[in-house]
This record gives sequence, structure tokens and C-alpha cells, in this order.
Amino acid sequence: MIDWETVVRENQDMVWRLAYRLLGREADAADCFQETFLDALKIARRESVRNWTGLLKRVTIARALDRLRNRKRNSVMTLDESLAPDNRQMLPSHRMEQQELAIQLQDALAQLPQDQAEVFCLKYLNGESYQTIAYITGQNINTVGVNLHRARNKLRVLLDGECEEKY
Amino acid sequence: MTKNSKYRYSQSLKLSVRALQNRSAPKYPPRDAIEKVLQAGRETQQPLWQKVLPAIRRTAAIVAIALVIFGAILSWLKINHPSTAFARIVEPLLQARSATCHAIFRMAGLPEIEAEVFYKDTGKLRLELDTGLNYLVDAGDAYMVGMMPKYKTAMEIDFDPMPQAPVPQLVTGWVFELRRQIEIAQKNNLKKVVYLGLTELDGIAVHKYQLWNPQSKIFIWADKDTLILRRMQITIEPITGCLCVLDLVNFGFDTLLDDRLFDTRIPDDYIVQKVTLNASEPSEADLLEALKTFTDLTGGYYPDSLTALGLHQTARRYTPRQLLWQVITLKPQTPGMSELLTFIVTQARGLIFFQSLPDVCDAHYIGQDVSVNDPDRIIFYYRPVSKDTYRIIYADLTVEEVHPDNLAEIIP
Repeated sequence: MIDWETVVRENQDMVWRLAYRLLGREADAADCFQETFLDALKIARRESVRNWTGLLKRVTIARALDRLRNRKRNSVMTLDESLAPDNRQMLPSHRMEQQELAIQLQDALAQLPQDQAEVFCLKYLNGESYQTIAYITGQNINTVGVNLHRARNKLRVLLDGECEEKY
Repeated sequence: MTKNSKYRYSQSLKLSVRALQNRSAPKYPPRDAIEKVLQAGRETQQPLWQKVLPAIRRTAAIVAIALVIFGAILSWLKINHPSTAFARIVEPLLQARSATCHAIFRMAGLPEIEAEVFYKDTGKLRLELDTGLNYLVDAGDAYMVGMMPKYKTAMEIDFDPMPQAPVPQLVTGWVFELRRQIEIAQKNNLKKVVYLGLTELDGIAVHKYQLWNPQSKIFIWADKDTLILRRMQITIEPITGCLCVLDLVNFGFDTLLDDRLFDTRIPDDYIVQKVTLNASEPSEADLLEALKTFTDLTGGYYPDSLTALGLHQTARRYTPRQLLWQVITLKPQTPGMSELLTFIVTQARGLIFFQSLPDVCDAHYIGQDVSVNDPDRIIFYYRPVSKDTYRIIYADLTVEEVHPDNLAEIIP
């Protein structure tokens, strides 16, 4: 029997932080938070879950990326609330720059294949090791390396394209 | 790509990643989001019966195996060996000091269960299930332990009262029991073995035999030239209500088996649960108890039939989740394995009692769609072997004795 309350209690902060970092808006992150736990619950009803944290990380990233792709398709303008004036003590110019960089990366991530985006987020947003990523995603450690390499290359190209358009 | 552009690419990625990393989320997720998630969890929590019922079916599978070992093999009482060849085929079963084989159990709706079987005629048995669970049995002490090395957990199973023969053989040493029954069979003179001729098994020419029994079908394949036992297949249906097949292959006899294989000591770092099971011969009281606990589970409804499948189907229809929790668990979300096992065994004992009643008992289960709220409805009747009167069990689980002449008046 799933001890659901324990699962939620032990992972809610991690899921929340990850969702928020990827989405940058509280309302979106809250929706993603709920979707993540509900999807994980559905998975748990189909098969036994041994690593709840790993599963929840993967699902959070997947749901957040879905939202980012959706935003991109619908060309939704986003306000990065984490960098809103009342949230951060920064120079306005710096704040704007950070916001723009974060949004660019969000857009770029939304264009990556799922495997690559997932590995990238686990590595750079969650700070997981190659071994842990391999364990969480069920990929071979070499595949993790290859996916990460490809993700970085694609992101560089996408981000640079954005930069060049702007300058 | 120039060195400069490459550098710029890396820099822009690095800065973007840092910007995302620097996003500081509000410290806690919104309370209403947490509450919704918890609530959804409560509503969609896997009901325990979904877990219990497969377990019941799996237990029924084990009961079926037990029946094969016990009930069906009892049919060997009636075996007459029709040829010298058959006697030679079964000879290793009679003579071997140790035996090994591979067992595959198939039951409708369940994943295949496979096990490696190791037996020593000192009454020790080891079953290595493909799930990673190892069962060790010591017939002498009527003691059984299941160990899961992967999780370092173990369950000790004691039998109370100490089982009477042939239960110990049923629980402990099927080879021993098989051997005993063959020996008895050799003294009988009934024609229950049919030679089905030469056939092919895995590219090898084999003799095929069938043993007849009301509870099961047993097929035996033996090498055409060497008469070595190649495969036994036991098909059983009544107790489970669906088709179950047990295949025993890769037999080895008198192989050297290390005593450590049968070591029932549990390592110190294991988490141990203890269960005491009733190993006495199932009686009517067990059937009543099984029906009572079952109706507690289903809100008062009796099973469609007294088979594992009947229990499964009825419980799926009627079981309220919360009630099942109360019956099975000590407290929600921490189901007690021993309570679960006790529940399963209670059901299994009721089934075994019903299934083991001989034809002369004229046993009938008519509890389908009957609930405890219809106390005047009859759910079961039979005539015990040694009695002249029928025992009628009503939906309120009261029992009445009725003379056979009056039976027609009260049975619908």
C-alpha cells in the first residue's frame, strides 16, 4: 500500500522547486505540482514504484516541459515572477537580463527532444550525477552522456540564434 | 565555427542556466495545491482489495499446487501401473534421496510463477521463486520461512496445532508424499493410468501417460529410450474456478545438495514477521468463518461460487474500500502482512473444506446474490459422510439439521 502522505511530504519541496525553476510562475508551478503527483499516483497504480523521488523528478520535468511547449505554441508571454521587483533585490537592468536569459532557455528547452531535455534538467537544474540520472531515467550511463552532449549543443545553437536575432 | 563563436555559445548557455538556477521559488508549495494532491491520493488510493484479491488468487494458486501435491496425488492411491515402463518411470521418485526440478505455474489472470525446487528426503524443501522470494521448509519441525534477500525481510510461519499427516507432507515434502502415494498405489489394482502412446517433447521421442482424477489431470512424459522422467503436467480447476497448470520439468534425482541450501536460520539484519497458521484439517467451522470474513469484506454479500474466481468476482463488485481496510489492516496504509495472510488462509481453508467434500456428501453452494440481510435464504447444504441428515447453512450463518426426506421442502 502506498503511504501517499509520506510520499507527498517527503517530496513536495523538491517537486515545487523544480517546477518553479522551470516555469517561473507560481500558478503554472502549482498546476504542474498537482499534475506531477497525480500522474505519479496513476503510474503507481499500474506498477510498483521503488524510487518515488526519481519518479517524481522525471514526471515534474516532463509536465513542466509540456507546459513550456504549450506556452511556446500559443506564444504566451510570461512574466518571471521569481525576478519580479518585489521578489529580488537586483538592479532593474540585471533583473531584466536574468529574466530574458531564463525565458530564452525555457523556450529552447521546449524545443529539445524529451530525452535530452530531461537529462539536461536533471543535470543542471537538479545537480544530479550521471549515475543518478542513469538510475532515474533507466538509461545507460553512456546514453545519458550522449543525450546531455546533444542537449548542450542544441541549446547553444538555439540560444545563440536568439541572441543573434536580438543584436 | 570560430573559437569566438564557440565561446559565445558556451557563455550564453552558461548564463541562461545560471538564470534558471537562480530563480528562487516561494519556500513552500501553495497549501491548497498540497491539499488537493493529498485528497486525490486518498480518493484514488489503490484499494487494498485490489491488492488482496490477486493475493487470494495467488494463494489459491498455491492451494491448487497443494491440492496437486495432496489431493490430486491422493488419486495415486488408485493407480494401477499398466506396464513395466511406467513403474520404471516413477521409480526414481520412489528411490531418490534428493530431487530437484523446475516448476512453472500458470493460472488465468496471474503472471506465470516459476520456481526452482530442491528436496531432501530428510523432509527439507527449498523453493526459489522467480520473484526473489525463497521458501525453506523443515518438515520435522513443521516450520517454514520465507526470505526476501533483496529487501532483507523474512516471514516465519509456524503451524498450530502441529499438522497431522498427511498435512505435513502436503506442506513440506511433496516428493515424500508423491513417493508414499505411489507405494500405496502399487498395492492397489485400479486402472487409472492411460498410456497415450509415443509423442515428441522438445524434439525428443517420449512416452506419454495420463493419470485420471476428478480434481485434476496429470500428464507424464518420459524419454522413449531411457524412460527418464522428462515432464509432469498437472491441470487443476475446481478450487480456483479457472484453469491452472503446473509444469514440473528438468528433474534431477540423487544430486548432491549442500545443506546450506536448506538452512532455515534468518540472518540477524533481516526484518522478521511471525505468523501462526492453523494447520488442522479444515472443517465446517472453517467454511463458516471464511464466509463470515468474506461478507464482512463485501458489505454482506456471499461469493458467486466457492472458488477463488468466485471470491474474486464478488469482492470486485461489492467490496467497499474502507471496510476492507478495517478487516485487513491494523491501521490504514500499513497493512499487516500477518493479518493479510491470516485472512487469505481463512478463505483458503473454507474453500478446501468445500472442495474436499466427496460426491456422497451432495454438497451444494447456492449463495450467489444472497446477502446476510436475507437470513432465511439458504446458502449451502451438504450431508456429512458419517451422518444421515443434511446440514443446512442459512445466510445468517446459522446451521440446521434436516432429514433428507424434508430437504425438497426447504431447498428452493
